[in-house]
Amino acid sequence: MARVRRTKTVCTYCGVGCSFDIWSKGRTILKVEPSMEAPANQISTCVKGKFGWDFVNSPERLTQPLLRRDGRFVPVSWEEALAFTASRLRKLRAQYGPDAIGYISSSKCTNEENYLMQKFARAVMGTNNIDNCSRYCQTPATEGLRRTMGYGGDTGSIHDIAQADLVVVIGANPAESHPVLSTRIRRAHKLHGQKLLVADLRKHDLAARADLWLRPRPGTDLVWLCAVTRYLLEQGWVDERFLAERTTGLAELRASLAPYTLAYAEQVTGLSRRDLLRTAEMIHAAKRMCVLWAMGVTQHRGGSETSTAICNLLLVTGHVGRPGTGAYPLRGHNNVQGAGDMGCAPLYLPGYERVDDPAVRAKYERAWGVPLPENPGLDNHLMVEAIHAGKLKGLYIMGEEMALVDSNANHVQAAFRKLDLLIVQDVFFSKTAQFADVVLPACPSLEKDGTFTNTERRIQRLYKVFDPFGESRPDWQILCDLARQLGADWRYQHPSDIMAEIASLAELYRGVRYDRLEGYRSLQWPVAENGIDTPLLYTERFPFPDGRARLCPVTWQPPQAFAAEYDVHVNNGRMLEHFHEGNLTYRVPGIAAKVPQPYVEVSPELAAERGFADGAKVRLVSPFGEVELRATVTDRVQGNQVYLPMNTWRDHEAVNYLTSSECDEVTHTPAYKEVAVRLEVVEPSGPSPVVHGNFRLGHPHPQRGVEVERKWQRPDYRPLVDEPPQV
Amino acid sequence: MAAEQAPAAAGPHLPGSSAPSVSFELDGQRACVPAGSTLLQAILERHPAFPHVCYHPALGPIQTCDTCIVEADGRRVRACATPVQQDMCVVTDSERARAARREAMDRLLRDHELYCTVCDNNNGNCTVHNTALALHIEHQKYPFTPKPYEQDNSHPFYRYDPDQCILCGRCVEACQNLQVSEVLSIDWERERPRVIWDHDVPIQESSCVSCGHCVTVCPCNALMEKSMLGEAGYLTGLSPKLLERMIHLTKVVEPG
Ligand code: SF4
Ligand code: SF4
Ligand code: SF4
Ligand code: FES
Repeated sequence: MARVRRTKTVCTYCGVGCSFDIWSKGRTILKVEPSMEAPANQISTCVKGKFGWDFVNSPERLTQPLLRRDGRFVPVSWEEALAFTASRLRKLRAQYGPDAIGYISSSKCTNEENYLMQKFARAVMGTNNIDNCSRYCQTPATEGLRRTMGYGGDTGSIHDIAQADLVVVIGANPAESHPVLSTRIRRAHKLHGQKLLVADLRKHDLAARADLWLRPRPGTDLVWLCAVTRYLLEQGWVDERFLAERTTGLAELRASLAPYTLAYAEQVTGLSRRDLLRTAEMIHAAKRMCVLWAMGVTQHRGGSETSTAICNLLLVTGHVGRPGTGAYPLRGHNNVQGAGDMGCAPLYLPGYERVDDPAVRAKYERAWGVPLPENPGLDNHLMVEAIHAGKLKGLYIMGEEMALVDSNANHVQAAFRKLDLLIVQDVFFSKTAQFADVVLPACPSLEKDGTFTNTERRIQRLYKVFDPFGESRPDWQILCDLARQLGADWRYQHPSDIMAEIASLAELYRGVRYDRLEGYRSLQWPVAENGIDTPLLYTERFPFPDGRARLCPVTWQPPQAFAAEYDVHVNNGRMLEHFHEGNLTYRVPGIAAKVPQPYVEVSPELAAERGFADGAKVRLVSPFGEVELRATVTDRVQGNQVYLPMNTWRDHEAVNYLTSSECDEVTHTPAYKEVAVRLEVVEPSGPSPVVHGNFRLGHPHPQRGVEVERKWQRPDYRPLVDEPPQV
Repeated sequence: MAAEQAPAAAGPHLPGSSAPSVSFELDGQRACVPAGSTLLQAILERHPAFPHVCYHPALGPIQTCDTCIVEADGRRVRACATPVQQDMCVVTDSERARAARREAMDRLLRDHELYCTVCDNNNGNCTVHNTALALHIEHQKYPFTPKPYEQDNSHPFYRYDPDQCILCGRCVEACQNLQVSEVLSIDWERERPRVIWDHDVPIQESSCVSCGHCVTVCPCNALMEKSMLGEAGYLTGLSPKLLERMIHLTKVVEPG
């Protein structure tokens, strides 16, 4: 009988970064076992981390490289695929120059792989056209933090969130998107008197539990944030000492806030004066406040500005740099933080060191032994536009379902059709792969070694559980193979060799070494040479020359206006059970049985007004495309706001056929949250899409706990202790 | 902060290095622990195998099992829920304390059939099995009696076997106060209590979000990942020494 093996890994399903042992026998997973050693989660998991791994043995896995020949994909050997890919890349570069090719890295891949992808783009191919999908989610948050506090990352740890006495959650649904992190809030709220303030359109789990739930009009968070900040300043409910000693720019901020009166905020946001005042009072009463935010803030045209407004509020009230305080832009995917840290962005080399700084470039040129491109590169949004403009001819996409998850999918797919060369590297034959010329079979996390960096800036080691499936290869090996085909002398034997190079170059990762990450050990950047890490940022200074945080005036960007016929607002995001477009989780039979397809959530008012019932089939038509799927009627949403989860791989359900190409002006993050549609009823009733086994149909039974007194009160219980039990 | 820093415990007990400490007498020897420690935490430092079935560091004391009883200043108390006090005199191995722990374990085993030789949870870290070993349980004082409930196999990923459930309530505490999905409770007022989902519906019809907390903390095989069943018993490669001890135990106490 095969032996049971236990291998530590790190979850790939969200930025919380849960780690656990996988018990396996042969290629079968027996169980996932988290333990108290796990730094982010201890014994906690969610359904995806605990039960979501069956896809690794799916017969639909890509097992061989594929080449498109005469409109059909044919399996070929690695030698042939690599030689073909390298020669096509070389030809394109010779014909159109290095900037005619773009490279998309992956927030699902390891730090080492992300590092190699940007090194491949810059050092092997000679362009700064490198990006990753964190631009789709949290780049505006990074921008807001970098402007004000200096580092683009959570200022503390999950532990700090649990310790706060006030947690403010804006435009985020942690119970479904960062499940284990949300347990720490629910526990502190239920047992330890933590207060919870939620601003969200939708009555999600934390909104339903909140002490105060604000429901501002879509896209108006900046206005109430500024009005509350202004009111706190007016009342003197701020941290004068912190402002005086640790910040600059107060006078400019104060002046910029002049228009944000409570009356103005009431009018723009639709919030009542009473709720605005209660918000200010709750903040005033808090000794330790954490603010958490996510895509409800960032995926707007003013995403960076609103993120900055959140940072201003935290700085004005002095809730930074102490335990139990801070800014937490919850990172979506497991390695969104790491992909950014590794320099997978046009402007940044690893560690957010700027490409346009000659000293930085010189350092990397010395290390890599090649001259580096100075031209500013294209981000993923600009790459799509450049393809349409005929300037970008080739695209290499590693681990990203860009055809479905970028906004305005029709526009993106039209661009893919225009490419001379599309290289797609993935675990499954994705929608994106359908447009490819070469498809390279890659390994998921369980089949590789490496590190991920979670939302806490925590670098954690994952160990290989299984050998690669079929002929698939870890992404870092594919990149090495391809680089060597193109004449680069890449000799990494193991991801630890790559991390050694990263640590020798990127300041933030200076002291990161595999021996310091063994087992469940982890490091939170910045990590000094001697291995001392930084669980809590800014305890003494901010990383600016004067050591002070910068208060930054902001401007409100009203959300897009749509023609009157588009009278239904489409909020969108995740479902607990599924991951992104679902290429992995729909291949886990137990999960697919519980939630076989996404559905649009419609309010009872809207359903009544349009004359349809739960189970109806509806069509949502935006100026950019349409989808058709079944509806469920629920009071989680209100009025003309519907909710459409992004979790689908089927064209007729995918929200990004509705979204536009509008984006945050600073970072080009798509304005996914600014969608309006016309709702057409296709069938007024039908089978509910919320099927047996969906937890949303259940009826929780809250109790204080196990209520052992009820055991002790049983007539057949004879006490074994001598004193009345202490409860 | 050092790179070697241990991960913070999730429980309420978070002694910092600078925290004040208390000293007390443990089995005739002086011991010093951070203020706020429980007796159980102090005892485990010295005797890692000391019985404690319902206590889990992530959950804190829930006091359902009585297997941790010791004498403190002459009174029998639950070590998991008793804070150490300065100069307290604690005896773990008095006859009265040992008898209480034995009795507690005997009571648990009325609700649990020891078929360890074929159990998929018996792979070195079964709390019930290990506690039975630690307490030198050699015969079952109260015979195992099945509960009048079917196994619940309705959920795709885990099952509940009421017959094996010792009613420790770890799963309930985890679901109510760590995951806080508030699905599980023990219906203590029934003739034979059991764990119920929501207001007593099959697991698959409940509000269970499948997080797995309950399965992870269950100290025996009552809640099991279905993927473990038939795959992970002791035959799958434990050290011969451990194997021998297990077979010995199961020979003595396994019925049939
Ligand atoms: S909370 Fe996130 S990291 Fe943790 S198990 Fe769930 S998906 Fe994975
Ligand atoms: S798996 Fe279900 S029953 Fe168990 S702790 Fe999670 S929500 Fe509760
Ligand atoms: S199912 Fe397991 S954890 Fe829950 S009460 Fe029974 S034995 Fe304890
Ligand atoms: S461990 Fe103390 S009562 Fe169960």
